[in-house]
Amino acid sequence: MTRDLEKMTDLELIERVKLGDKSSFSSLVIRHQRGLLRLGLRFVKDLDQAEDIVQEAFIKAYEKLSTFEGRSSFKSWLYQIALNTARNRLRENRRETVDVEDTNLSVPAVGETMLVHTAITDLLNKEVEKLPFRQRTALVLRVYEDLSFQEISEIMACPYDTAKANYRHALIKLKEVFEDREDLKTWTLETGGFFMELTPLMEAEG
Amino acid sequence: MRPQARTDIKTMLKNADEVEVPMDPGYYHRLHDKIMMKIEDQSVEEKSIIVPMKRLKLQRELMKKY
Repeated sequence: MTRDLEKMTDLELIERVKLGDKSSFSSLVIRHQRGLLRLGLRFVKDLDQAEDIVQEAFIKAYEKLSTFEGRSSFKSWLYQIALNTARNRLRENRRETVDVEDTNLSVPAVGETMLVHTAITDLLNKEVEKLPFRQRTALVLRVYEDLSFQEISEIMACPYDTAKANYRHALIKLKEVFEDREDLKTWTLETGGFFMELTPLMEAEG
Repeated sequence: MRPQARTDIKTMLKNADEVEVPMDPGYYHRLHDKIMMKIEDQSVEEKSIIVPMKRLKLQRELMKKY
């Protein structure tokens, strides 16, 4: 008797797809679409574009499924495809120019603490965006997706140590940004909020 | 000291996380359907490419014969 598709492992579903059962691929989509959308949003920041990445990644995965040998997990393989798609999308976005008149320059009327929080969040997110793609990828996969370095190295198609080094370099760069910005420390001390925990450590490290 | 500092930057990043995926299950139903529909379309497209190619090959063979 055939087991429920939901209870099958990714590899079992893939075997069924390879034998021509398209509904098994549907189960893979259901299982991974949410995680993939979250990953896409970390790179393109726009739901429509992130959705395009998800769609493209699944279509490519379906087309190339015969080449999937199961050396890494299906999730790692799928994330690798999605990241390549996201990178291409970012390149395309960079080519597009932004009309200054379309840029929203208004400042939201919120309390000071909220403003500081927003300012630091914006700065941090902008700095993450500035990181080289591989460093950003390692950081995103480790911090937000909670993946192991083994999984990250599979997704990034690189040695374990390289994945770890990319992650470390990303963190060092971000730390340097905050070390260079004295105003951020002052804000944080004044408002007693967001980055309180970092200040003593920064001072201790000199 | 360093590993602790790194953990804190990790916390900072998590605090600054602004990514929110849609919560509505209907959204994922629609996304799933779009993906599966595109896969179906692609399969049809592949078939429609294969059929004319086969027809062309057959025509060429017939031309050679007669």
